[in-house]
Amino acid sequence: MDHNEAVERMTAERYLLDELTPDLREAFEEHYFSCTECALDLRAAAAFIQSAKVVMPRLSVVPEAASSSSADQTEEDDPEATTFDTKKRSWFDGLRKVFSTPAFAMPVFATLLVIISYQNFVTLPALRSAVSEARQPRLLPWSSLYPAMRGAAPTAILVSRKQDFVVPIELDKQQRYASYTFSLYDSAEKRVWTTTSAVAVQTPTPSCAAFSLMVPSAGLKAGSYTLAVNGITQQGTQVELDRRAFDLHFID
Amino acid sequence: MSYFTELLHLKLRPRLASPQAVEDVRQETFTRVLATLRKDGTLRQPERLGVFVNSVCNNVLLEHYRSSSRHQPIESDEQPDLPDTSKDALDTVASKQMEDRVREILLKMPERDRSLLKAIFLDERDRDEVCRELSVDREYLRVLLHRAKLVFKTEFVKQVGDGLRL
Repeated sequence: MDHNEAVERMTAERYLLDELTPDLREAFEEHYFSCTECALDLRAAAAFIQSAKVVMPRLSVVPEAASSSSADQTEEDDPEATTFDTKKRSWFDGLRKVFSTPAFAMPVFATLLVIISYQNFVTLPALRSAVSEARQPRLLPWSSLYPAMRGAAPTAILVSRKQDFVVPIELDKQQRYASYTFSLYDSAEKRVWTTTSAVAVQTPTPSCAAFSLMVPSAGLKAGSYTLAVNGITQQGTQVELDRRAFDLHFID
Repeated sequence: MSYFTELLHLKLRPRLASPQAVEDVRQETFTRVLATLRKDGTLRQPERLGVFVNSVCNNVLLEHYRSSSRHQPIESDEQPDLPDTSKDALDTVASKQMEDRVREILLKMPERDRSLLKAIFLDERDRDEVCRELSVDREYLRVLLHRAKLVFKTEFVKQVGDGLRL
């Protein structure tokens, strides 16, 4: 066996791991007795293994237990345990330690419990009730709005705060807009809300399409409003079709 | 002498059951080598001294196996004259420093590699079984040991010093 072959095949490691055939073992032994480099390699690997056998038992035990288990342990050995502990710990371990203390964990859990309970006993039932109500047939007040003309008095609408109201909308079927926007403005011409609807204009009436727009009362205050209806062409151009003014009053 | 002592220990330890037997073979080997050197004055090929020591050791080992199989050793009340294995202060310091370096190397390893080395060298478990458990092959183990040795070698050379010379 020559030196290059011994190095390339990691023969020193194979020798110590008892992976060589008897012939190769003898050939390597004959080689390392005369090759100082391979002899050094072998000795270093063997020394590593020997030292590892001494060191490893101390690495595998809990540092606090290791420092108190033997009467022969000196203070010099404590830095070893500390070094091991310090190297193993990371910032996440430190954070986890804080979170796992009862003084921190209990208020957090209590808060979470309150939030979960509120959601389960208040929020969700209210939402379910609202959804259920919305699915039920109900009467809604109907109000006719007239075009907002100069000098004309706006239509008065009297509703309950808890109730939405319906406004009839007449759309021109022949115009064939891709969609319509409905916008509500307050007395200061500030837009309160806007909604877009793609309307399939197919009604029995040959020249007009009649719809009912449901206006939610929630969030509105008593006062003057204007409802604007715009058509949006295929090219995206917005065309004002109608403006209807009304005075909103609440009975409750 | 100390150079070949270590090499002989590495050769004999896996082959012989007891440290006493290792020591016996080692001493017999040196006795015969020194006798040959004194008789002939010098070796014909000095560069082959290592090979000569190895071949003498092989012969002594063969004789040891034959004599061991022939008879059982007689128990004696006399205490065996064991070689003094106590370390001197310098050896202790060197050993401690090497252990510190090994500890550093082991701590920098991933847990799986540490577990692999522990199972193989400390627990002396079957290598194939351990490799199977940790989902590695023998080549991985070999390379792991090779890399650890390379890192450790610097410290080892620093401590061994003159021991490198024949």
